[in-house]
Parts: sequence; structure tokens; C-alpha cells
Amino acid sequence: MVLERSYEGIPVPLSRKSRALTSRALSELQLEPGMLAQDVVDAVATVLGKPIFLEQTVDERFKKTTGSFALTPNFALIVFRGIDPQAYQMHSLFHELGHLLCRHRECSRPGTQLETEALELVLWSEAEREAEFLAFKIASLISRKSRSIQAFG
Amino acid sequence: MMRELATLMLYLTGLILVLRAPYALGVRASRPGWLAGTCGLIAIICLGFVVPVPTLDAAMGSMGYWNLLGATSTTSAFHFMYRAILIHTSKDSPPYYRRVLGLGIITYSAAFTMIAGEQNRFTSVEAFIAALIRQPWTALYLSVYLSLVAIIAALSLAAILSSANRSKIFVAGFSLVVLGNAVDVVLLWMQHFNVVSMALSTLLYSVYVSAFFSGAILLCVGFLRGSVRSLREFCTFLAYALRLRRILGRAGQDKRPLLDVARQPKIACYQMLIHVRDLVTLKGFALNTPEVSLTHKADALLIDSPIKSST
Repeated sequence: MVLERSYEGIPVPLSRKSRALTSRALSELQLEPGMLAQDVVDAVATVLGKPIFLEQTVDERFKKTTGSFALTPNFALIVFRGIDPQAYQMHSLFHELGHLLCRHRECSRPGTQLETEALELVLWSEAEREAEFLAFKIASLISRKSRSIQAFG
Repeated sequence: MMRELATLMLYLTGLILVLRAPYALGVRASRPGWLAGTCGLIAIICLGFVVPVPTLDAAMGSMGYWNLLGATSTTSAFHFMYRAILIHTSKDSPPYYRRVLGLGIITYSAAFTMIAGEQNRFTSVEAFIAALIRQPWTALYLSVYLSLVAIIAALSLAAILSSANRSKIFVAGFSLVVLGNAVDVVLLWMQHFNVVSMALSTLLYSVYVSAFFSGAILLCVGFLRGSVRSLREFCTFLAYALRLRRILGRAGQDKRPLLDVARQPKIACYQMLIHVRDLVTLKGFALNTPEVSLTHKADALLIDSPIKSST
């Protein structure tokens, strides 16, 4: 697998195959500057063809997971950890949406301290890198200034 | 009074030129606003308060074209303002706008060249008008130029009024410019036909100067407001991004290139905050108290300002 350096300012290196997959997944979404996180969730739900339910939790069972998702025949459920900083929670949400967009089966991103020092190896399997790339990309796309604001700002 | 108002305008347009330059270089949609300020600055210089008219004229070959340069710069300034308003309100210009604009500029330029008299002997616009207004070409030149500016200002006003978010400062600014120019066109023809007393002429001229310059100053403030807000946001995120970059450096992580951080400090701040948090959660990376406080503040800033969350 040939890993390329991050592109478009996203600090996640991607293989060519992952790059093509994430580009295709993003093109399915109609992301606009100024969209809220809920708008992104709705857009992904439209692409998936099923509703997405969100749960922000402080449940003990989720103490060790930043976020996760479950895909059922009728709906998708995303759970993310409520004790994290808000920006991080939103990133976790977008990360899980990235998995859904890439049609991954599960999220294997750990949420608590790793025993090994090899963070990059454990954290970033190909699927995790794709989801992480999409999370950063979604955040940067919706936080752009709209053209009408750019005129005077 | 014109000197004071023009001086204030000079500072404001100079500020627009400087403050918006870095942004205008990178963002296409912000360029008309910046060009409006730049053309406005040239137009004010052509009034002769900063650079004396004879010096300006000498720089242009002593042909008296300082006056035409001032008129064309003013027209261009309002044209670019209109372009910025169209972008801001997501509207299109009416059909034939460009043709009318081009025709107007050609008409008043042609009229200007027909004016007889040594225009290079004047030291101000007022002196030029007082001496040559009896010539039909002078009245035609000035009235076409002022009407064209009024039409562009009226189009800008209409675009703002028909948009969802009406900016009061722009509504007031463009209304005053339209009023001022309309008054001056009437005054010019009254002076041309010599049907106005000195007292009324002085009064109407004061109305024109007050209305036009107050309107133009309000427009400058409106343009600057967005630039100042943007610059403040840029500086805030840059400061946070640089501090987060230093924390990542302490953790032995690859530092983001400074150019990337400076280009998009808000995005860099967001990305680095996530990395810092990952390090804390997954690698047990310890932050000292000021660093913890920084991450909390960066988090609040990101959620409040650029990246909104409704969840």
C-alpha cells in the first residue's frame, strides 16, 4: 500500500485507494458553508437512505470509547462520549459519519489510553484513516465562509 | 467642509486598502470590495487635498486629465461596490448593466474632451466647475458622471433592499449618495442656465457635499466592519493555533508547516486541538495547567465561532 502525504491540508495520510473512496463519499454529500452538525447528519442519512439517531452519552460502558456506530436494517445509531470537549465530540460524530459514508462495518478507534506506544499503527488502520480524513474534511468544508460573507469579510 | 470629509475618507479608504489586501489576495469574492476601496482612494487623491491638483496634472502630462481620472475612479469605486453587494446578496446585475456603464463612461469622457479652456490652470474641482459650468460640455460631463454614480448606487440600494438581511449602514450610505448626486445634477444645470442665486447655490452644494460624503463614509465603515471582524478572528485563531502547535512540538509530533497555519488558522486550530486531545486520551500525554486552559478556550472558540454544532 502506498501512503501519500496528507492532501488539501488534512493531516491524515491516505492511500490512493482511500483517497478515491473518500472523494466519492464526499461527492455524494452536498456540504455547504455554515451547515450545522445536524445538517451534515441529515445529509448522510439521505445518502444512506435511512435515519441516523444520535446519542451523546456519559454511560460507564462508553467511558472507553470516543464514539461508535451501529447499523441496523432500518436505521443507524451513533453514540459519542459526552465527557469530551465539544469540538472533539463533534469530530467523533463526523468520524462515525465518515465510517457510514465509506460503508465500513465497524469503528475500531480506541478511546482510552493505549498500552502500546505505536499510536499511529494502532489508531490508523486504513478504515480509520478514511473516517478520520472525512471527519476533518467535513469540518473544514462546513466551516468555510460562504461567498456572500466573503464579500465583506 | 469638503476638505475634512475628504480627509476622513482618505483614511478610511487607505485602511480598506491595507486591511483587505491580504484577504483579497486569497479570496476571489472579496476582491471587488477591496478594488472599491482602492479606486475610492485614487478618486479622493484626485480631489487635490493630499496631492495638489497641479502636481497630479503634471504627472499626467499637464492635460487637465486629473479631473477625468477622479470621475472614472469614483465610477469604478461604485461599480466595484455594486459587485461586492451583488456577491453579498447573491444576486445578478440587471441586463445591459455593463453596456450602460461602458456607455456612460465613454459619454462623459467624450464630453470632457470637448470642454474648451485650460483645465490645467485649476487647483480644485470647485474652481473648475465655477469657471466652466456655462459650457454645455461641462454640464453634460458632470451630470452624466454624477448620474451614472447615482444609478449604480441606486442599483446597489435596490439589491440590498430586496435581500433578506438588509444592512442599515449600506441602506443609509447608498441612499445618501443617490440624494447627494441627484441634488448636484440639478444644481449643475441651474448653474449652467444661471437660474440660481448664490445663496441657494451654496446651500445646494452643501447639501450635496454633506449627503455624498456622509454616504461614502458610511459605505467605507460598512466595508471595514467586515474586514475588522475577519482580521480579529484571523488573529485570534492564529494565536491559538501557534500555541497548540507548540504543545504538539513538545509532544514530539510533526509540526504543521507555519504557512499552512497562517493560511487557515481556524482549520489548523481545530485539527491541532483534535490531535492534542488524541494524545491526551490515547497516549496519556499530560498537559500543564495553562495548556489545559488553552485547549478549553480553543474548544469554546471553535464551537462558538466557526464550527457550529446543534447536537
